[in-house]
Amino acid sequence: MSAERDGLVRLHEHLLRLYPRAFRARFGTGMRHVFRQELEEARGSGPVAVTRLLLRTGAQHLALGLVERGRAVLGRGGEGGWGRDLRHGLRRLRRAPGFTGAALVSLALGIGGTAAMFTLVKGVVLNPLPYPEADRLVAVQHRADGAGLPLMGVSLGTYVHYRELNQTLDDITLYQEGAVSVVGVDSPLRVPGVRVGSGFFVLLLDAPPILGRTIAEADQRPGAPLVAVIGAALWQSRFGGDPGIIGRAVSIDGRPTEIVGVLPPGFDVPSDETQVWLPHQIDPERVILGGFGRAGIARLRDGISPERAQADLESLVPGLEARFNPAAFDLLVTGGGLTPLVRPLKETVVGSTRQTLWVLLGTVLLVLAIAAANVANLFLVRAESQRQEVEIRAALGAGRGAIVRHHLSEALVLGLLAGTLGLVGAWATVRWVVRTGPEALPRLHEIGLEPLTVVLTYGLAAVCGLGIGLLPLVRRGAAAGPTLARAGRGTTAGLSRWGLRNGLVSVQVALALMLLVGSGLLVRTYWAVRSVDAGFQSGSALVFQVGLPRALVPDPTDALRMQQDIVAAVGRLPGVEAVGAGVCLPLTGCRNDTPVYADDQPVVEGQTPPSVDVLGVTAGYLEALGVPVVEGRTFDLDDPFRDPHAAVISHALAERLWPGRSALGRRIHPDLPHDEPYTVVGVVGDIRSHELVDPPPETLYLSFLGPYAYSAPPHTLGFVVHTGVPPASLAAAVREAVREQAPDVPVANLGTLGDVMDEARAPTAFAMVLLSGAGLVAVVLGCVGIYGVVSYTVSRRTPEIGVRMAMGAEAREVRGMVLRQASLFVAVGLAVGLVGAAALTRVLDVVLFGVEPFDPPTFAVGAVALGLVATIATWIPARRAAAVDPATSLREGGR
Amino acid sequence: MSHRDDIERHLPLKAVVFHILLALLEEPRHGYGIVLEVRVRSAERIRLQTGPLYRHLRKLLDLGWVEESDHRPAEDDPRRGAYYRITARGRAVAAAEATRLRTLLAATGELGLTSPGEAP
Repeated sequence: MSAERDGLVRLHEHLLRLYPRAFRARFGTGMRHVFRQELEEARGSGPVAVTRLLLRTGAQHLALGLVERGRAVLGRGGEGGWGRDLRHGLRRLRRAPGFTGAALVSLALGIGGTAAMFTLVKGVVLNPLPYPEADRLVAVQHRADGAGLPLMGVSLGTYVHYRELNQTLDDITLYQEGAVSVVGVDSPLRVPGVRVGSGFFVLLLDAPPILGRTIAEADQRPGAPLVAVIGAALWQSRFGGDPGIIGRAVSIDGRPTEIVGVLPPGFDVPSDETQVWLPHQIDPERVILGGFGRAGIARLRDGISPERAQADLESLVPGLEARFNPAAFDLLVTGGGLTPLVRPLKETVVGSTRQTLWVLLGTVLLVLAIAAANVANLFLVRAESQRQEVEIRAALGAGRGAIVRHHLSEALVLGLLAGTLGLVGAWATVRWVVRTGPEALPRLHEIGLEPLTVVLTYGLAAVCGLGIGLLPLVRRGAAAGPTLARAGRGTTAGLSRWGLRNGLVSVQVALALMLLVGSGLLVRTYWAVRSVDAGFQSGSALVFQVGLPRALVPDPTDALRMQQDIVAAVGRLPGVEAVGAGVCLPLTGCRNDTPVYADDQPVVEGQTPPSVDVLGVTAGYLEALGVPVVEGRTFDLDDPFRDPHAAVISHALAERLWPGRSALGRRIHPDLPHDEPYTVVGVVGDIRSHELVDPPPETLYLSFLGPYAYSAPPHTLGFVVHTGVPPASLAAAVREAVREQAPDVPVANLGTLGDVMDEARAPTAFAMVLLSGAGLVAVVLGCVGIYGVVSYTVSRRTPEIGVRMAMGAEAREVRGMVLRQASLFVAVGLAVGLVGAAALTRVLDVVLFGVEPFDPPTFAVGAVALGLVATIATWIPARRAAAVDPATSLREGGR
Repeated sequence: MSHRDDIERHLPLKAVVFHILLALLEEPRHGYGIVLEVRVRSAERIRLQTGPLYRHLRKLLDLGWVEESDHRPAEDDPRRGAYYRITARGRAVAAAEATRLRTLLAATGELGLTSPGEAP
């Protein structure tokens, strides 16, 4: 094969172009020769050797070619060169502390903010979950739209069925969250606990337990001795880190249980508060199809996509019919259209936080752009003032490389300093965020400053430094040629000379406006969420939960009586105005969606009516929450005996079922196990019991002591206490009152309803605080930029202004002239910013509530406010211009 | 700064650089000749590739330790590129490196790590 026609040699020829022309001219022939020889040798040893040679040579040419090119542009390294220039840069920066401080703070804010935000995005969104082979973990969920159930977990029935028959999963497990009472430690305690199916720890636990073992397959069989695994935090706090804890017997939910293991700290499935894991004892022959309140997690077989797994599970749904109760199958599958959903686990963990974090990262990048524009402007000004020095150097024979290095060295030193400062700031910020732990952020304890972030931050700092340092050179290029001759005494330059700087100011103003509008929208969102009428009074209410362990109080009647006793005892406390209990407290994520039939409404064959939140409550519950009565009455203490089938419905439900008519006396039929009709005795106001930002759900309240409770006695109840005194002051008394009625039963989650509301608002508050902070920084930086440029312009034009004033111009006119010229580029910035904001805020849509992305008042206020602040920033130098003394200014001239 | 200090400043040499200088001690060589010689002398431990070889040559030329040689063998093919030879300064640097290594080796012998005169 002729060497000249050899494709690989031709390829090498292209690679050589990576080197500067001079280098190629000097060494090209030799390089070709060496490569051809190497190629011959490699061909002798086979295609693998040839590939290796090509890859290595290519990579080397790419790297070394660029290095040589850099050298060719920037002049020789080694002695003097870069090292000297960087030292000079640092010295020059130290000689101008004001300039350096301003530039450093601006850049560090931008870089630090970006680094901090990137750390959050990386930790929460980008990093894989901390479980073995996490990329193959999926969440298994279901939907049954026909039954009004858009999203739910798995049931024991589907779990057993899928586990046996699927073709696409390594394993599937499930867990059910709840709270457990632990007795047998210093004082009884109630902690978040979870029941888990087989395979749970195999799928999710990466490290071995600190002590003992996890839950084994044998523990899951019905009738096996009860065991529990506890978390490291509980082990430390309640068992004093006792290494001999394994085998210790405690009572969990009233049943004797042996502690068999302690998990490593940081294990957080399902949440980092979970401290007790118990086996879900499942008898595959006796499970039922319904009960989809459990979360399902599975690991895909290698190479299987979530979509394939979902199709696989879908194909198993018809098989449920042969296995389970036909009525349940009809309700869920035939009528409900039960469909399994398989999604990457990370998606379900991270959820909508992803968008918020990306939006915030975009925001800080905008701040960085503003900061960089600001510093670039400062450098342009500085380059102007160093013009003479540089031109003298050029005249003395400094090469292009030396001049470039001179400009770049300062900016690079500044960039690297700012990067370091920014990193420290980012580290502190991230620590603060993790410590304050906003509810909105999942995976908090996984967040930390990583090596990659450090590298990226310095990369960003270097890019900023280069960009900022090169900008004056672009201008130099435009005004090339020896200018020493006319550089002696300053002359007033026209506006065009500041075109680039004014352009930068316009960009800053535009970006600042975009951020200002964005943060304005979030502030409005926050206020909308704050002022949203939840439908209940949170100001003076105390809430808590009491769970009566089934083993402690096995008889439902006893449980109901104890719960009534607690209500009564709390009601007797001084300062308590109303008290009641219900199965779900508002805004706790607890709900009980059930299809509800109205007896006078036609039922379409095979169709289930929409689901309604069905809640059992005691008399006094609605009063304690302060829910207004729209029509009829609420429950009273006699209802359980006189009228056990009384029902109270929410206004929204009444409007849907009987629009414009009275709901009183209508018969209603919730699809509950006991299957009994109820009569509506009252309509109450809607409350936003699920999410503050969601419309209030339709709700059906049933008397807690009626057939509802006896069919499925709830062992955990939420209590609401309406007080005439500050609610927190009653906490101790309430605890004591409960202890008197139920000595071994802990009170959980005692707090004010206001706290619950704050928690529900935390995500919005978090986003608002961060975005407003960014907006504020942007406005300040923008104003500093405007001020700097106008000041500089004024100082350069001092002689001209002096002449004007000597010719009889008045101070007012001079002020006006400066303001007019400055307001031109501010106005351009505002106009561009409005357009940019309109484009940007559409991204914000996901985090907004109660305000449209394109909200004219917010846009207008943002523009006017920024315009005003910008005017003030120009006003100060304009006033200085007007105070010019003509004689002095002409004598001094423009430096 | 004395001449000696000037040389000391460059020590220790990178192994590759030292080997390139050694390869040129005997006679002027072209690029691929250097590659082959270094391979043999280093017992195949150092296999120079095109890019790094010429970057090192560029540095050595800039330092004045190596220069282009006019001497070309009679049967030479111009496609082999330039021949290079070591300069007096290059020799001095290589010698200084050799001395440094010998001192080091002597020290290891005294400490009983290697026996004196042991083959490498």
